[in-house]
Amino acid sequence: MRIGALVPNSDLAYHPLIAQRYPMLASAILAGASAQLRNMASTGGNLLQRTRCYYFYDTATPCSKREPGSGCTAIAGLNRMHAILGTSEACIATHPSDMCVALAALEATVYVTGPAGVRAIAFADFHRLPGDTPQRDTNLQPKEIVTAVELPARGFSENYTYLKIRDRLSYAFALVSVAAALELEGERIKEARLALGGVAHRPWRDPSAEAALRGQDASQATFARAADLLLRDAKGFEHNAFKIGLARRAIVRALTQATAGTPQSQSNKKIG
Amino acid sequence: MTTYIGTATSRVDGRAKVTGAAKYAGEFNTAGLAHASVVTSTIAKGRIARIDASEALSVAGVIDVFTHQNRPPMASTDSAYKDDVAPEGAPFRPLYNDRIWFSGQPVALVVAEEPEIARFAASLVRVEYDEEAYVTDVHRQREAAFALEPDENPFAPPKPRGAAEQAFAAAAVRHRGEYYVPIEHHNPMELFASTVIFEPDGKLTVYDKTQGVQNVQRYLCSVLGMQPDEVRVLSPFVGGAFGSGLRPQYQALLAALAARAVNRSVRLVLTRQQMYGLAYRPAMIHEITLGANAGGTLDAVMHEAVTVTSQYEDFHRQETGWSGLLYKCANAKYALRLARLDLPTPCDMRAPSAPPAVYALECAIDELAVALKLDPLELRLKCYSDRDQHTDRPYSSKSLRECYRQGAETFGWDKRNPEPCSMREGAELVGWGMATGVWEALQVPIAVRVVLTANGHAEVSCATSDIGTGTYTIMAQVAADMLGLPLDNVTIKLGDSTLPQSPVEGGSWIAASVSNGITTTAGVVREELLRLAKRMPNSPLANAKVDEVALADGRLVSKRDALRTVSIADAMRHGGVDRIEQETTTTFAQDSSHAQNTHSAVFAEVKVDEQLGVIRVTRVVSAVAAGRILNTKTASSQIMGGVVWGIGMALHEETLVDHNFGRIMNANIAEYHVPVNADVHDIKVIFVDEPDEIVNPLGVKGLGEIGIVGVAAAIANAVYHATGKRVRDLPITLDKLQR
Repeated sequence: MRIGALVPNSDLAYHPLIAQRYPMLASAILAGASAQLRNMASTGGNLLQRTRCYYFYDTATPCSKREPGSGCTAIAGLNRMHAILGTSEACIATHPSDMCVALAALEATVYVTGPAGVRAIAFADFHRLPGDTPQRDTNLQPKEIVTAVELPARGFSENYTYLKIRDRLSYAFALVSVAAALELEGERIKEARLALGGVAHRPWRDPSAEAALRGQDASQATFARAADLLLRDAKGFEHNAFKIGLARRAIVRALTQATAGTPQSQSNKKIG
Repeated sequence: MTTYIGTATSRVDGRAKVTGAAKYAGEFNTAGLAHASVVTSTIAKGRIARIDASEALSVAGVIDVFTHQNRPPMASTDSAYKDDVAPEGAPFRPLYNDRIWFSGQPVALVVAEEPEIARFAASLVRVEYDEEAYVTDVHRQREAAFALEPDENPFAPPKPRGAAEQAFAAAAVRHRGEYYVPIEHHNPMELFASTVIFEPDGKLTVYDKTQGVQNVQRYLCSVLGMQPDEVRVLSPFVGGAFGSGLRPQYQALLAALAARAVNRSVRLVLTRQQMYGLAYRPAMIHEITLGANAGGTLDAVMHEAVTVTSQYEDFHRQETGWSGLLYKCANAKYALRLARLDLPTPCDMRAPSAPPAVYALECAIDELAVALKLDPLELRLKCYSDRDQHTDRPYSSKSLRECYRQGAETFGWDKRNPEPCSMREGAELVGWGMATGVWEALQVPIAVRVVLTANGHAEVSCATSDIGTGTYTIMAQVAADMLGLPLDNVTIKLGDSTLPQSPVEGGSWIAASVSNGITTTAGVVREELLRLAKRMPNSPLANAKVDEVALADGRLVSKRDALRTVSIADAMRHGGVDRIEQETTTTFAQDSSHAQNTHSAVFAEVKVDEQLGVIRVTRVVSAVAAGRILNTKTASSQIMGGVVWGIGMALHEETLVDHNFGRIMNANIAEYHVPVNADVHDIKVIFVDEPDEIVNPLGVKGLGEIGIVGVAAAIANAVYHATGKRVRDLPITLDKLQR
């Protein structure tokens, strides 16, 4: 299924085929922003959201993402919202998107067009970790534009969830979010996808965590092992170390929701 | 007599507001309007070394750039900058000199043909600073905090009573806790804005976002050296202010300064980010010490508070006294210290210091109840006080007991299992908490003019503001009842400095003041009508005295004999007048024999996801005793708004300052969290009956503030009951439940 870059987030979330085949994507979109923003936000634009790091926006403070080489102020500053995975000394910002977390789990493909023509970028290769070039959020090349996002056939429409934990019940960026998608054969996990939002410079996946789920019984112990693997390199800063424990519990909860076929409602804010 | 008072009358300005017909300060237009944009400081303390505006000036459409170096003349004494509600100290003067007092301080003003040009050019003004060391963290400055001399301090803590330390030492059950509330900002929906119309004769008509048009008018005259008739300030509608508009804010002065400098009308709208540089409720540390006997009566109350002020003014309100007022206790003492930080001067924010102070007290009382193994409501009833504990006076009225009773009954408090973590629903722990709220019933001298015309229409005017509270509506209701006219025949004029005198709209004092003010003036109008009616041949009211007649249905009616009536139109026609105009000033006697307060009992239910710590406030019942309720609809809205803000205070709100930069980092309403619809569930508002013939003739106490007081404590106590975790620093975010 191919989604044009200009398709508004609302149209996408409420499209019957998305709701039917890729409900995790619909759910993730509806977990983000507000109805008004989703009406205006485009698919391509959502991919290219800038971080919400305070220091990136305040030109009175240094920020290597804004001014390469000026240093990361958040490391010794207000970093409660910041990354715990894939950080660098140059940047600990997070990618703010919810939609992208689901797209990462679904292994979407991003189509871009530039001077060299059309090319396809696997979703996992689209966003970058900060490294020493935090000013580059993505692997888009100069003069390339996003034209479409393509979803593979596998939609995980039975056993999925998008669980977002935030400081208020709507219209807030994720402290931690989890896209969890499973294919089950009875009690056994046949296929698994697990992506985190709010914890890194890009949606966070780890093949070893998904491998630890595959072929195993869908049990709390299995979920906990996968969570540990996904978070094995997590490193907290002064104000955000709580995210590690929170992410661990959120992963287990999300996998429990997905297994039960009771995805998190995005309208009733009670966590299922 | 009271067709409208006490009813759920819809806002008389509702249609204008929802259709956009109501115009706000930044929406008034005039030919040749220029637009200004502010440049703010990026450092917290120091001096401006250099300002280079050349690049900004080279932008097409830029008219001028003003800095401290080229600004027009301004007053040079502190007293000239003192507005009606200024605290002690030397008020901030925008663009006055090279001194930087706080990050976000205005340092330059760009005036241009279009707002976009002004804002772009503002980004091109280069400012270099000589920076000095600064402190913005109250915890770091705590030891250096100082006490004000009591005689210099109108909000000094009350005098101690008894021997609190000894009583505490001897108490059977003791609790001492420290509670912290961070800086919070008002975040009114409407941006601070001023449109200054430069009249052909050089006079200024200023549309300003303010809670006090006459305060701003006097301030502008004083700072700009203008005569009273040269400046008129209007503020017909205000999109929320919550105290942030009590003092004149710098955009009004800068827009006026610029208009006079460029001889053009000028509008200045602050950005949301810049509004975080105006004023705020200061961070506060409250230490509450309680001693009780085993039976659950209080022996000792001690309250020590540290609050924040700027380097140039001493702002604070009543932080500590609430603790000794609310409950019966023979021994109490208080201490307040101010910490100077390199931030702007704080200001009043909805019930100024009561929400943080009462949050601390009411959490401490909850902790004491746990220690005493008493139901928290029962403890409060055991400590119930029928007399003001500071001065041992009776209250003019106090129906708090009834608030407790009705609130508890509506909430279902008797079904509460006292054990923490004992109530649950699925993955969620359920917690029930409660708290008391208290505020003052204040009233201020106010003037009201009534113009009654023979066609049965009245225009009622007063320079007060309607900051969204419903003042237009209650004024119309009271005037209609007192003049015996249909509501639609009453026109209200307010928010104009040329109207009869009114203090700023704050302290919850306007509803009581203006409603009694209208009553007074309407009485004089009635007297005049009776004088005319008596002169009619064979007047049926020939022998009536003024207090024996009322105005109803467009007629003067004898209270003794309803058949003895004269229509307003007839009385005026026979008297040969087509209008009666009266203006009176109403003052309120300082009744030193009674304490005058409003109270509330707040009950809250939270549900907390046990694993993830996500908190939902699923129910709140707020039972309020605030004298006579003028309008049950706008009053309920007021209380509901207070409860919503209380939810924000408990769970969401915090102005984040990076102390490495001395700078606010979440200066926008995406990152500064207030509750959204999803955070607000079932809120029930109850007004208990509270007749009060002492407080003022109408028995009105005002209720702008009482709705928020106590809410954060009720929620914090509910979170404790749900989780067994006592979080003593707000907001209670989910990470704090993991500590």
